[in-house]
Amino acid sequence: MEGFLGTKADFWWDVTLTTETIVVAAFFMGWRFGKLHQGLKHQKAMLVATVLVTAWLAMYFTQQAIAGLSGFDGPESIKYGLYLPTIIFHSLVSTLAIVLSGVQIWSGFRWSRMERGEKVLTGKGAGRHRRMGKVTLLSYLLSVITAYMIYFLLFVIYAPLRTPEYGAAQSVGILTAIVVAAGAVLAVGGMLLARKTQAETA
Amino acid sequence: MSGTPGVLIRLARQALANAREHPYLTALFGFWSFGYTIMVPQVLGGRYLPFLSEQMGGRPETLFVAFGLLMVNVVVFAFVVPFGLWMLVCWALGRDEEQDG
Repeated sequence: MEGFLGTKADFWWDVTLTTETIVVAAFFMGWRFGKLHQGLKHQKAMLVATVLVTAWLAMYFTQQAIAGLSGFDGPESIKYGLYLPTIIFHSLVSTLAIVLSGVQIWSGFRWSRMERGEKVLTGKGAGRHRRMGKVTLLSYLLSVITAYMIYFLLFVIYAPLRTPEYGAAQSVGILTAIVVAAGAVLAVGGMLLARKTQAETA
Repeated sequence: MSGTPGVLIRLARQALANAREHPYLTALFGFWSFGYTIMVPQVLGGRYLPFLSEQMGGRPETLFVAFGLLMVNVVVFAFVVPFGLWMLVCWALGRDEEQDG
């Protein structure tokens, strides 16, 4: 199944890259709200970004199961000198980013409270949350930069070793299921959060 | 002490202090790092050494240089990068007294 970005990538690779960009953009938007001391917006944006990154992970594992590895068909010097080292570095920073996201969500709830209608960080974990946020965002930034490098090396500059074959119906079905599940989590989570915020404000 | 040795000594002292302050995190990163000493040669694959050796003329001694380059990759991705990430996480966790919340 062909991709939609006009490169040599297949459908799943294009979905992976575009959705990863959206997810990282959501994290940066959340960080911006935090910098502006808009705690409630920051909390919502980060929770949405976390649901999106979880859905993205589900989608990425599906991609690995359906499309599998593409393989690099460029020169061996590029493969060993740039492509594979980039993949190794990407795996390191991506793992850290995912783990730290969970830690940050926990610490955000643990060290915040409502104050004059706004969510504020408080207590000894406040400084940690701010500093860890910077490390998390740096990890995401490095992860997305290396993801783009891998995509360009695989599908723009060179060609993949093999083009996976899979059915459109199966792919669209699984993708729809993931989107619906993420939407449901967002809707239920949003309602619960609104109720909790209302109770804290009252 | 100034210059590169001074920086390295300060880094080593800071790393020791971090390890004492966050032993579980250090063990976790150590385990992760150890995993990459196996994973890096696995990812680079069996063609890595012959390819580099061929690039350098294919004489028997070039295989040692190629092996050295493989070790450089292992040191960078199984030690230097995880070490840097660990230092960053320790920096974020540490210094509670400076927090302004």
